[in-house]
Amino acid sequence: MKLRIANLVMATAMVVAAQEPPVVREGAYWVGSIGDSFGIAAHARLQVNTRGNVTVRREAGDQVTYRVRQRVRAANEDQARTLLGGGVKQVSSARGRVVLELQPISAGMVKTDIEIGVPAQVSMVIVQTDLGGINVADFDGAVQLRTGGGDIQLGKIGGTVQCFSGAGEVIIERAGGAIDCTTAGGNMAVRDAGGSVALSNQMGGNIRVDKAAGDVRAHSAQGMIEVGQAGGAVFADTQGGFIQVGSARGVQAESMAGTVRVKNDAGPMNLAAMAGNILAELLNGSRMQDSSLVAGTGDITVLIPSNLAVSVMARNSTGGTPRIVSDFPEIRVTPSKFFQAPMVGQGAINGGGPVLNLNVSSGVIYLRRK
Amino acid sequence: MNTCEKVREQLSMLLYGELSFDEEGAVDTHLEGCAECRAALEREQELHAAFDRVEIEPPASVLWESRQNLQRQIAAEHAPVYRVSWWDQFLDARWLKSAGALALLSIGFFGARMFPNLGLGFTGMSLVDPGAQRVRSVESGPNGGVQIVLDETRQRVVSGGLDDQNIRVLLLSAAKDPSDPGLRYETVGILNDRAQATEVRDTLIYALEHDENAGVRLKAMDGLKPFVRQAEVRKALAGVLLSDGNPGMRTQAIDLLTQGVGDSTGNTTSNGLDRDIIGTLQELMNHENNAYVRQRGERVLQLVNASRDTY
Repeated sequence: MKLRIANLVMATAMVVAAQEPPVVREGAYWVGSIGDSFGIAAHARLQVNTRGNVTVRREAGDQVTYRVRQRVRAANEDQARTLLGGGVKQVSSARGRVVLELQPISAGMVKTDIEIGVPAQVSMVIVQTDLGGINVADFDGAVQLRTGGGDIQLGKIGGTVQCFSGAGEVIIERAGGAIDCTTAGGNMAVRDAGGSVALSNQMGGNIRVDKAAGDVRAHSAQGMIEVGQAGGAVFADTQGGFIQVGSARGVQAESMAGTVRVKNDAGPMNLAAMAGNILAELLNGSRMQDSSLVAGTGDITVLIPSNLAVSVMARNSTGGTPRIVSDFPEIRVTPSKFFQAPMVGQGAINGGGPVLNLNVSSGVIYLRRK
Repeated sequence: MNTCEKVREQLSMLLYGELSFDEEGAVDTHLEGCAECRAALEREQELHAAFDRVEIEPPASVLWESRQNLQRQIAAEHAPVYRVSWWDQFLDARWLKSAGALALLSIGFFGARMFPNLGLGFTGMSLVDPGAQRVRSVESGPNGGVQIVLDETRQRVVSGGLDDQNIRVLLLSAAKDPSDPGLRYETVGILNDRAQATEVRDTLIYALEHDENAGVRLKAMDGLKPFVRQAEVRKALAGVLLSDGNPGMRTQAIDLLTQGVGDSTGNTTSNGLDRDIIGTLQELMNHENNAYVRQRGERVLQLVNASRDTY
């Protein structure tokens, strides 16, 4: 039994001692290159730990292939060998996870590119690189990617995506499953996600999600957030920048400085703009729920379909002459008296329904018929 | 001037690493055969060492700012001098503008407070007049009437092509609007398509250097990418590299500044990696804490045979 567990824990272990790769002259550079391949079981997970730019591509057959290419400028071959410095490569396997260690111990000025060929039978690829970009063009399984710094670019990924970059862009063309990515700083973009999307930008950058089948969560320390179409709810917040949602089933959005523009299919809307306007459009036949729109300094404009049943409670606390402008005669507005804010407008449109709470501290409230 | 005099004049520059590779080689060759010049070099080194012992911690951007100040002073020395009369100075005084603005603000505020409903036909329910209005002044008329001066802010739609000068002026202004980063972002996005025009490019550079919002700065950088070989764009990117607090910005900046350096041909000079950029990278090495940016900088300095350190 112990032997079986030991077999499971470490099915194979192969350590290849550091060996001197061939070094050849290419133009002004000395280039060292090593590569190899090894078999991998069906549904196994492949983890690559390395340092440098990593490219993952699909490989035919059942072998994982890898190639490490290093390039440096040096006066002669001996100096080039010293700078390239060799490295350690090791393949080990435990509990269905095959770990490929490719650790160059070269000088910092050496450019290192790693190319990994992954057969379709691998269920997940995990890449951890100390520094450098990660590029996965096409992979059917799931990916987990982490880099200390560099761009992450993904093409068509069949499964879920988890990624982190210490600094750099994150661009994802398509993912079959959920996406959960973070970058310290840089733009983030997702074209099409088959599940939920969570994107976080710790120090600033713009976030764009064109289409997601599930919920979208987007946080940017500083930057714009654009969500085209969300099958679920959208939760978005930014310290500075606009938030724009094309369609969603519920929206919670907060912007410290910038406009919030939302089209909502169903569910509640909780929108807040400290310094900026709010423009909310309720879609025809939408099944909205109780909602709250709050603007500090800025206007609130709500576009309401003619046939939508909704109850409105609007409060405008603007000093001087606060204003509530309505296309609906059902909304009764009580003008504020001298030095007595707020102005209040309330009423039931088409017999009333979910409550739409509108609050403005300094601005105008517009209720427009669509 | 004999060779020794020429070499001694270059010793300081040698220690600062400011000589070209050819000049440095020539000085080294001379020093090998000239004991007096070697002694002069040692004295110079001792002087530098003495300065180093009282070294202060300058801000990261001091080298860059010093170069900029030098450029400005050189330009100022060549600029013509105009005499300004006391009357012009009085009219140009900024306190007049401030006092005027304060007066207008006070009139507007108290006017609106005191006369919230002047019976002018606009109420909170008005659909006719979506613009903002403030009473600026009131005056009694001869027949018991009242004359009121209103300040009105009205929305107006202006449309036209990007080549229309009026449209372009409005866009250039909107790109610097401090109140709304979303507006600046969208404006910069539109201007990016016209970055070949100098005034548009200047606005994008301004946004890159000064906009407080990282999203706007990243958008401006997108528009400047095709012009990365132009001196003013490289200068702005160098400033970003040294002083932008967002690591994503610095990552993009160093990628752009060093693109092509270390390509397969090994041709680094065609990329236009001038001394200023090398100096910027050396300065960057003193304080950069992002490992990726640091590694890129180190690699490029090695490729151009430049020291990592500044002297």
